[in-house]
Amino acid sequence: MPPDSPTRRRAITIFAAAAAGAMAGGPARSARADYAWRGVAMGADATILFNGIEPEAARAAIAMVEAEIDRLEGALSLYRSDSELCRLNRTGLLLEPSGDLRRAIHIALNISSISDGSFDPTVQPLWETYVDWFTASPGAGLPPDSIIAPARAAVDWRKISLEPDAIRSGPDQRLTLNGLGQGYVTDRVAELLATQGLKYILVDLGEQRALAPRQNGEPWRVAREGAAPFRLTHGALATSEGSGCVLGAGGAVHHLFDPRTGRSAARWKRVTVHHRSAAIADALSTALYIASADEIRAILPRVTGVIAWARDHDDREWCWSSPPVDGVALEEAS
Amino acid sequence: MLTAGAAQAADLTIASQFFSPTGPVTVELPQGSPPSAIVRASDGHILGFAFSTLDVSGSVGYAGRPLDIVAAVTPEGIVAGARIVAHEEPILVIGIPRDALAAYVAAFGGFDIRAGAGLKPADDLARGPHAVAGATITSTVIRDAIVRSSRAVLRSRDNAPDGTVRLDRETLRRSSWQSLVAEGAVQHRLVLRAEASKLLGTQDNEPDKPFIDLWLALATPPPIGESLLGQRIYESELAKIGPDDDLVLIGASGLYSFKGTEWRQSGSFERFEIVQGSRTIRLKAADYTPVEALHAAGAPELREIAVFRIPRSSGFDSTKPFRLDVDLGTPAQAAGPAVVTLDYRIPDRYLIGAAEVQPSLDRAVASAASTQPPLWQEIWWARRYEIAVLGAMLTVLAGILVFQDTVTAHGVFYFRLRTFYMLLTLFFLGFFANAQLSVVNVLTFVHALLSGFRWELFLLDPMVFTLWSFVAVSMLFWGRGVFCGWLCPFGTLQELTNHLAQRLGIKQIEIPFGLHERLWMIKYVVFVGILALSLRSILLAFQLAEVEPFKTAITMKFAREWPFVLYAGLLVFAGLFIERFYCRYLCPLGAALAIPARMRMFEWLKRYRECGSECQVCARRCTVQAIHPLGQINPNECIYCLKCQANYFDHEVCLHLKKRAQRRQPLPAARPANSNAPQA
Repeated sequence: MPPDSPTRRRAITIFAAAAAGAMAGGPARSARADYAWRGVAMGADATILFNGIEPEAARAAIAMVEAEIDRLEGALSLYRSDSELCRLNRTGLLLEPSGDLRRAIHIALNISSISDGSFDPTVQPLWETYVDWFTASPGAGLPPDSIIAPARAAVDWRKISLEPDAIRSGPDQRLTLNGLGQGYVTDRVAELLATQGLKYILVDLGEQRALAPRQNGEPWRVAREGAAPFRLTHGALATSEGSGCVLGAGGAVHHLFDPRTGRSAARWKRVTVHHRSAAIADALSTALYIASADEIRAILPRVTGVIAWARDHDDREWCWSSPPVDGVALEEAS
Repeated sequence: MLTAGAAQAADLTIASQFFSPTGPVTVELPQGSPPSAIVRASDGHILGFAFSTLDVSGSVGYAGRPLDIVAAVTPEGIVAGARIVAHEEPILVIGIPRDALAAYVAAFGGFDIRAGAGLKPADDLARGPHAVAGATITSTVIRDAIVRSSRAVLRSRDNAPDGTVRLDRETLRRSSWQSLVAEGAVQHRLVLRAEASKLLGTQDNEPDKPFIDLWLALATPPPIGESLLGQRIYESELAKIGPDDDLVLIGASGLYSFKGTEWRQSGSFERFEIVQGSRTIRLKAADYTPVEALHAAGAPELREIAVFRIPRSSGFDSTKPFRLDVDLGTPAQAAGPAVVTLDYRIPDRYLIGAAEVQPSLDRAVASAASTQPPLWQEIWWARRYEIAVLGAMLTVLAGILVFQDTVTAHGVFYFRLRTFYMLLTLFFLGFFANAQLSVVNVLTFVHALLSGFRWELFLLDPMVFTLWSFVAVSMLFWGRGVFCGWLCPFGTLQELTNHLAQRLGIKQIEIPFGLHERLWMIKYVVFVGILALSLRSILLAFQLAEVEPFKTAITMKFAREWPFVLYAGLLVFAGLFIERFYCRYLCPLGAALAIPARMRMFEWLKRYRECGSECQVCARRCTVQAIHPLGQINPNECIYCLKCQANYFDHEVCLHLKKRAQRRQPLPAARPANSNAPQA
């Protein structure tokens, strides 16, 4: 997958009222105030909102966050040729992987297993094949099966092996962690901030994770197109949307491939998942986007503490959950 | 009292001799802070830096008097040479010949000061001097002065940009666990099973129990590392790392092992990482040393303790915050990253900012001494086993004295006990621990009182300090004899050799009491003379204190110039014919103790009313003839060996008891004895 365009998640806007003042760029005050940090993480826009914090504390926290994002990108990012993931993709073997890459791949393989392969971190060859196809002949139709088949053959999460001090992939396999990497980084950054004693924070690195509601007890509001906003107090929201990143003329292809067909999944317009962990929410939203409603009903009970909303192409809202669900609600329509 | 002889800046040009084999060298004028002089070869390249330890670190010796060593260190951190230029050290003067000291100091040439921090002579087996017989305190101070000053000079000459902060790798201090935790040098995180199961997405039926109780410390600075690991492990770890590398200690208890077992096969630890900024540092089995237990007083017992050596080349900067990431293991099902982090930041006191270069050239000994860490704590710790044995010895002795009637009533037991105790005093206190008190101690004490008393000076020798503490109390209770009779190695040497001589049938010389009484005066004259002379010149007084053969016989074990050996030998020889000849007539220390001991509080030595009038047995048997022919014991001369008390209870020896037994013999049955033994 390429670097996501900055507009990828345009559909989702944060309008936590508390943060508005700071985002408007008011002069720094020495008293507690709200701050927003904007940057880039894992190739996508990133925002962190601090509600009611000393400016020094915010600056110190941000310095730490930037270093942490930089560090995690060095492990998980496809956009850095020297990252551990890229090194693994080049040779099929990575010795002495960092704990973060190991954990992220472990989570990815867990979700692959839970979702019966709907989610698969090895879909990268498919993406590369599509990109090559459309680069060579812009405006052409979809690539034929004969082009897709070799790439699809390389897609199989079961061939990834996590050994005590190495990660191995199968022949011609290449991994992407873009299906959960942002969520993983969101989790690490959020938990890092929590260990600094910070609470009233919304980390939005593509997925939104709240450590706690705002200082006044109000939830963070996460808007979405054409539906009531989410009220987030704990945990993470992740949304997968085909239109987030499209390829080819007319948007015939998007980045969410069904590993089983090698084609872009088309069942849902958008799937949003809430889970305590942003990494899990991120990976599950990808998996559920690809799965059918029946498959979703089978997958969900295998995970606890999940709620998922899906919007189909007829703009009907679906919702499934696997209790206990905590930390998210839909805003009542006024 | 005494003017510090080294108050003038030492002549650094002698440092040129340290480099002489390589051709003509020039020593420039000292400059910088701390001051040091560049030593250049004839072609202009820098050979090293010369400095005076007094200028650089305000080095002081055991007695608090200045100690100045001119030394030079090469840019590579090798001591090019060292020479002692000023030293007024009582311990030194009595303990060691000057040429031996010069050789000891000179042997620092070639010593690599970058090899590791906090090394001490006794344990530095890799290279360089190990110790100086008989003058260990001063040699520790000397070593400290050379190594510390070399490091300070080298650092100031390093091309490090100004304003950099560096880790203090030199300051020695011992800290308790509580104080390390309180200052943040040891960081802690307790992860309960409830938290772990939440992160792992599992259920736990004992949520309040610890999953892992983590402790983290940067062990590089000696006050942290040596306190936590103990001297031996700390120093052996330091020896394995370079001058800029670091040691990190991780300890844990609880259900979960942070080390796991995978590393045994893979060679690197996968459950935890050191994270600093955007750097992830993985730890290898090769950089790992398991530790049995934490050394610091008050430290908890941990299930796993590990020290990791982290090279500077990994990018790790111990002056900056870092954290430990511990992976809590494989999640049971879909769960996010199960990692706990423990932040660490070395407290500021362990950092040296370039801004706070110590105000050098302040040669006032007091202020220089105040910048020195309490070396005495190190020394007490290093000699803890000897101190423990001494403590046990003193406890036994206190028991003997308090229950002296019971002990001496069992004659054979008493004699065996005393012989054993004397052997212990001679071989352990004397030959092994060199804890021979001397009149020099008295002089040092008197002069310390006159010129400003500092506990630190006396704490530097734990054995001598402990002994003097005991002697002071025992003197107040029973008089000076407790030391002389039981704790003086030279005294026991005389007594033991005399006993041997008597067994071999050597006839003892009996000195008429009138002469004997007058000869006592000699030792008082000697003591007063030494004391008086010390007010004029302490060095001369120390030389006169050579009247004591202690250094020759005990500290140096007769390995000394022949006049000294002859003198000490003659005294021991005389002791074969006149028991404790030296103690009786010559010992200035005995005299020094006898004077304040007149204040003693207890008179426990028992006598019969008849003693002296009809029987002289005790008086003749007395070790030092302290019993007057008229029967009374002269407490100024008595060495409290308790022999007369054993005699007192001995029916075979005591004439009074024998007569009483004879009187009773005709009587048919035992009658309650009319105890007519008055208290002495």
